[in-house]
Amino acid sequence: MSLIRYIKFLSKNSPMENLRIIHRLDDAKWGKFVGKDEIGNKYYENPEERYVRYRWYMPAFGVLKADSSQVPPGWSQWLHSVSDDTPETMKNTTPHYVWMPETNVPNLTGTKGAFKTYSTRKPVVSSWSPAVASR
Amino acid sequence: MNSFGLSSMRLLRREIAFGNALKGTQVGMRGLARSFASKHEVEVRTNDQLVSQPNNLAEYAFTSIDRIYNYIFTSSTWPVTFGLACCAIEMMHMAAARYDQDRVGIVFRASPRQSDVMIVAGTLTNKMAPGLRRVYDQTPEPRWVISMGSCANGGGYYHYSYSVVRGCDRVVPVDVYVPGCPPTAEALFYGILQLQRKIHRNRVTTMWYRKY
Repeated sequence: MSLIRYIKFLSKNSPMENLRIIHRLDDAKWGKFVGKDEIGNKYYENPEERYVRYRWYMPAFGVLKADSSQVPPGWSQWLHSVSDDTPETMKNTTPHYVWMPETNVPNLTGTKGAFKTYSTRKPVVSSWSPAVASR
Repeated sequence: MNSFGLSSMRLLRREIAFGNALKGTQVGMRGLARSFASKHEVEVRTNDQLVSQPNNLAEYAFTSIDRIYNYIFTSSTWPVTFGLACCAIEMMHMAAARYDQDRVGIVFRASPRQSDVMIVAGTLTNKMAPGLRRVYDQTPEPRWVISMGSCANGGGYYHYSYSVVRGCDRVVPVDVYVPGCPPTAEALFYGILQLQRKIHRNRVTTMWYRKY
């Protein structure tokens, strides 16, 4: 029952919290706070919720346009129920390799940091500048 | 605003009046634009810079109009169903209850004349290519194309087949490429959100103003 669920969850938060949750998530949500990542996204869990909607995150306060690529990989696997471990519980067991980035890199499409292809080879064709022959 | 903003507005008005006088003469307008550009050095900026720091009154106004325009468009991007192969199954999943595309204002339309986005889902064969192009041409502007799956992106598994177009971008201009074989419904949804981000970067009226 959606309405009952709405009223139940709305009554458990403060009005300001409710306003923010509805604004950011388009839904009424209430759950146990699980953790926070490096940019300030907050992760919540409520096992009573429907399957696939029982884990969610609240985007960080300053981030106006939230994007799912801002979720770091460790939290992403928790969010998608790959594992019940969070990066905080796995802190000591996760190996750290040189190729692993220190911080999560979000999708940079449309920004200055977007990837552009480039060639490291010498061009195999040489260009020519057309010139008009004098008559 | 600042004096430059006001002076540019005045120039714009004068330009419009002058343009009316020269109606029909393309050369006159072009010459005017050139003289306008030489009088005021225009600094080249990216779209993002243009929005974050508009440098005169007119640009303030036009970026606001652009924002409203983009807001209206992002909340109702209706795709035409162009399911060609197995990717279409994932496209249907996105429409169904679990991912529920309806909550972000996406409703599949059966007619290209009623839609803004075309999701090319699956292998584009040579036989289907004219059909795809026709559907694209029938879509009213502004229109966008999402290429879904590796077959539509670049031929994919059928890249060396004799009967397959090596990527739908050989036929229509593509805005968002969604990789995967097939991409999950989540991936396609993310692609649509990326398209919404792209629409948010649209500066239709500002670009019109900067052009003239």
